[in-house]
Amino acid sequence: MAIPVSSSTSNSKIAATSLVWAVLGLGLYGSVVLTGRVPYGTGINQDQKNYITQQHYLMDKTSPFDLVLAGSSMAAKVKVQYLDNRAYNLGVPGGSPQTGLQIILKAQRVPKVVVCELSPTLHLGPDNVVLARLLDPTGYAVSERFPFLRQEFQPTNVLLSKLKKKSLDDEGTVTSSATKIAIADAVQMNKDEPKPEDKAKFATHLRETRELLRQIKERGSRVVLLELPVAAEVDATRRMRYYHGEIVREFPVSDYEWLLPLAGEEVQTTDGIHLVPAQAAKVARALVALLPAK
Amino acid sequence: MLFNSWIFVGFLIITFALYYLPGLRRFQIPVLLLASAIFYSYTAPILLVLLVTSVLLNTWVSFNTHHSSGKAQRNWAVSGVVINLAILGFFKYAGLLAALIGQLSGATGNDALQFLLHVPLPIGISFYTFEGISLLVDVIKLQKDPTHVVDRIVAPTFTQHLQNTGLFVTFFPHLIAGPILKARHFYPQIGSKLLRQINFEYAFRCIVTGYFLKMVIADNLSSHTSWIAFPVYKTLSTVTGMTLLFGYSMQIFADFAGYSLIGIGLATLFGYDLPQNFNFPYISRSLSEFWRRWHISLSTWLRDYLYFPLGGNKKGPRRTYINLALVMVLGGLWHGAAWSYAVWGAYHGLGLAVERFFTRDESAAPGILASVVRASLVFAFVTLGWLLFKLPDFHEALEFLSFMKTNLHMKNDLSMIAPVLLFSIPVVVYHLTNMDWLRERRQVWIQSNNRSYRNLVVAIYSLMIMSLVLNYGNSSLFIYFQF
Repeated sequence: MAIPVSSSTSNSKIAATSLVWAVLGLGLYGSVVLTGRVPYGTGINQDQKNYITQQHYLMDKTSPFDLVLAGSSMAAKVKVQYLDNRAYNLGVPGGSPQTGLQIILKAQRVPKVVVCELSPTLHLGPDNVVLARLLDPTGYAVSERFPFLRQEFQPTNVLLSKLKKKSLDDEGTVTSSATKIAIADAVQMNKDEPKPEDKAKFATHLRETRELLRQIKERGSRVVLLELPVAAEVDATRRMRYYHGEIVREFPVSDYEWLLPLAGEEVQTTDGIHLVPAQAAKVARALVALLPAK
Repeated sequence: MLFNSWIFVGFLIITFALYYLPGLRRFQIPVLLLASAIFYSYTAPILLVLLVTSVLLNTWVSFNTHHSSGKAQRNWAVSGVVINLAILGFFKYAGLLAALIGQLSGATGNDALQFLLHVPLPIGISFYTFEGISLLVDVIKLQKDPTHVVDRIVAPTFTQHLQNTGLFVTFFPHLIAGPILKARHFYPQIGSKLLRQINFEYAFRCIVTGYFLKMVIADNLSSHTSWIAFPVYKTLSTVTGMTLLFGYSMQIFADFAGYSLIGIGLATLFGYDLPQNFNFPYISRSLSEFWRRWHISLSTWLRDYLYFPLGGNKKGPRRTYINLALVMVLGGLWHGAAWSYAVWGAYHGLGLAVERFFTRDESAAPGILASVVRASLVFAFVTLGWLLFKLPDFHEALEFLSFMKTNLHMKNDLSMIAPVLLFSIPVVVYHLTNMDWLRERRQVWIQSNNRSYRNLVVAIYSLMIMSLVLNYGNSSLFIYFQF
C-alpha cells in the first residue's frame, strides 16, 4: 500500500504530534474507565469471550466465588452464574477442563466447591498459550494496575457488547434441520475409536486432571465431578464409549463425588453435544444446590 | 521471530543502537547480518543451514557468472537458477509429488515416499529463493547495461560480494514474507548509513499503518473468519457466510499489506528503500490492474523473470493466453504445495485470459458508475478466489458455496456480521478514498486546506496508535509465512 508521504514532508513532525495526542487520548480513556462509566464488554469473538471470562475470575477481588465450574463449551452452556452470584463458570468453548482447574489453582484463594466437567474434551489438555498469557507476571501486573488495557474495555468490545445487549439473543436460534445435520456430523466424527497415540495422550491427560483435582482438594475445596450427557446417537459412537469408559475407570464412583443431573431423562441438544438452554438450566440449578447456605 | 512480539521490539532497539553507534559504523553490514541471523533462527536455529547455503550458492554462482563470458557465463547462470529451483522444489513440492505418486501407485507405505512426505518447509524459502534467482538473472542480463549497474551488484572481491549478497538475501525486514527484492534495486543502496539521513516520518507512518493493519484489523478479523471451517460453515446463513468471506478478503489484505509496510518501515530505519508491495488493490477495475496492485513484488518478479522470457504478449494471441495461464498457475503453486493453489492460479489465469479477450480498448477512462461496478466485480471475483486459501480442500470449498445457496433463509448471526463489518471499515474507506475521482478532489482540498489536512493526518495516526494499545486482536501468525 502506498503511504502518501515523501522525503519533503519529513520535517512536518506528524509522528511526534500523533504520539503526544495518542498518549493524551489513552490517558483520557483510562481515566473514564476508572470512573466506572465504561460498561465492560463480554467479548466480540470466542477467543476474547474466553479470555475475559478467565481473566475476570483471576482479577476480580471483590467477589470471592464459592462455587466454580471448570469445563469446555459443554459446561459453558450451564449458566450457573445467572442463578447465584457466588457461582462462576470457567467453562469456555474450545477450552478444556484442565485450563479452568489450573486457573483455579493460580487464583489467590480456592472456592468452597469446585465442579469439574469430565468429558472427551479432556483430550485437548490445558491451553498453555492462554495460561501463559493470563499468568505472565508483566501482563498480569499491567492489567491489574491499568484496567482500561484489559480486553473487556476494548472500545469495539464495549460498543458491540452494548449493541448486542439491546438487540441480540445470546443463544441464537437453532433450527431442527441444523440440529439434525450437526448430530449426523458429530456421529460421523466420533464413529471410530481413537488412534493408539490419542489413547495414550488421553490417559496422560486423565492422570494430570486427577493430580490437579488432588491439589485443589488439598487446599480445602469440595470437588464434584460432572458428566454432561450428549445425544443418544452420539453417545453410542465408539469414540465416545471409549472415552466414557476411561473416565469412569480413572475416577471411580467409590473415590469421587459424581453429579449426574439429567440421569434418566431424554437428552435434548442443539448439535448432539451441547444441551438445549432448558436442560442446561436444570443442570445449573443442581449445581447451585451444592452451594453452602448463605 | 515475529514483528508483533515484545522480543522483537527489544531486538530492534538493540540492533538499531548498535547499527548507528559511531564506533561501529564500518561494521554496519555485519551488524545487520548478525541481527538477521538471530531474527531468522530465533525459534529454530537449524533453519540457518539452508539460508546460509542459499547465500553461499548465489554468491559463488553470481560471482563466477560476472567474471566469465560467452557460453560459460550462460552455463553458470543457468545452473545457478536450476539449483535454486531444485532446492525450492525439494523442500516445497516433494511432499506434493510424493503424495501424488503414492496415490497413483498405491505404494503409500514406501520409505522413500514417507521421507519425502515429511520434508519440512523452511520458513521464507519461496521468498529468498526468488531473490537468489533475481540476482543471477540480473547479473547476466545487465552485463551490457550502459549504466554499469552490474558492477554495483557484484563487488570486486568475493568476500565483499558475499557480505553484500548475505545482506540482500537475509536482511530481516523482508526475509520471511517479502517484499521480494530485485538485485538491481537493492545492491546499489548498500553502503554506510547516517542517522541524520533517515526519513523517520516515513518509517513512522509505514510502521504504524502496518501494525494497525496487522494487529487491529487482521488479528481481530481472524477471530471471526475462523468460522469458515468444516463443519461450522454448514450452520452459517448465506448472509453470515458471505460476510465472513468478505471479512477474510479484508483480513488477507490487512495481514499481508501490514507485514509489507512494517518491513518497508523497518528497512527505512536502517537506510534502505524496499519496493511497495500493495497499491490499493481492491479498487482495481480489471484483473490485470489488480495484479499490478496486489503483491507487486511477486507479480513484477513473475512478469520480468517468467512472463517476458516466455514471450509475453509478443508471440500472438494464443501464445499470450497460454503464457498468462502458465504464469498464473506457477504463481499459484508458489504460494503452496497444494493443488488448491494451482487451481487458484488457474482461476486467475482464466480470468485474465477472458478479460483480455473481451477488452478491446483500455485508453478511455470509465465513468464513476462504471468504475464502481467494475471494481465491485473484480473484488467479488478475487474474494471468491480467496475461498481456496481458507478452505484448501476442494470438497469443503464447494460444500461451503453449496450451503451458501441453501442457507438463504437461516437466521443471520449479527454477533459475527457486526464485528466483521466494523473491522473492515478502515480498509474499505482507505481504498475508496483512493479511487481516481475522489483522489483528485482530495488533492484539491489538501492544497487549499493544508493545515486541516495536517490535523486530519495527526488525528488518524493518533487513533491508529490508540487502537494498537487498546484494541489489538489475539496475536497470530502472518498468513503469508506459510508460503
